[in-house]
Amino acid sequence: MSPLPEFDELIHAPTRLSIVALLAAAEWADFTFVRDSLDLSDSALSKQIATLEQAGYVTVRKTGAGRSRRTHLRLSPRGRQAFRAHAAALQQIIAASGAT
Amino acid sequence: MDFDDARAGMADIQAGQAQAVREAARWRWPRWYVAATAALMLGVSMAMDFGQDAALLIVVYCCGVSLLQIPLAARTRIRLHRSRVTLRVNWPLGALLIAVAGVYVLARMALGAVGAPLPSTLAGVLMAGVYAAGLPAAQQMTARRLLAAR
Repeated sequence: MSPLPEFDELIHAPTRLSIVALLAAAEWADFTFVRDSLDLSDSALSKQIATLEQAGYVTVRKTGAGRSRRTHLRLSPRGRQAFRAHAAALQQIIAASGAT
Repeated sequence: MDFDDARAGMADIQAGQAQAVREAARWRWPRWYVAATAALMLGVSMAMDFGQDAALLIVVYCCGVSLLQIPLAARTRIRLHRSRVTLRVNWPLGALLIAVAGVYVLARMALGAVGAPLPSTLAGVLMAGVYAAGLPAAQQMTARRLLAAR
């Protein structure tokens, strides 16, 4: 029997799930794009990114200086793995509920 | 964790991923980049008619194209994961570049055969024209494939 996919409480919080799902489709994404896509404020996104970064799920890279300063967000291999496992866990719950 | 919560989570995941793909599909090469690339093609083609070292011009072209990537990268807001940027999605752009090279080679051979003056320059004009005219169509086809594949 295969092990159960891992449900991840850290990822599952709605805002963080949206951030991680968006980053999972990308090699990297610009901070402003993620902020605008999810309709978040700079500080709200920074807070969530800091949490994901602390968990080792997201890496942050700053480039340029002054007005051309940009922040790139990237899902780390660990974050990508956790996201896949979490998505699989959700699908398993949905499948199990549908079967009963 | 119940069924509804799991379904809401999956909906969030799909929405986030669709948003990333839509942004990538919406992206277009800026006009300055297309113009600079076409100018580079034309400049190198012209230099070929004036006896410049072909190997040197190839290096100049490759360096020029690489340099253009720097400001281009600064304008990009997202780069899709490699699993989504497949040959199946991107083939129109690849086909365009092959066609552009083919146009130059065939036009130059034909113009050379009939003894036309400045064959490389004329072939370069054709090549740059095909590139600039074909890029929007190739990009639209790629965007459609990207959206369909999501």
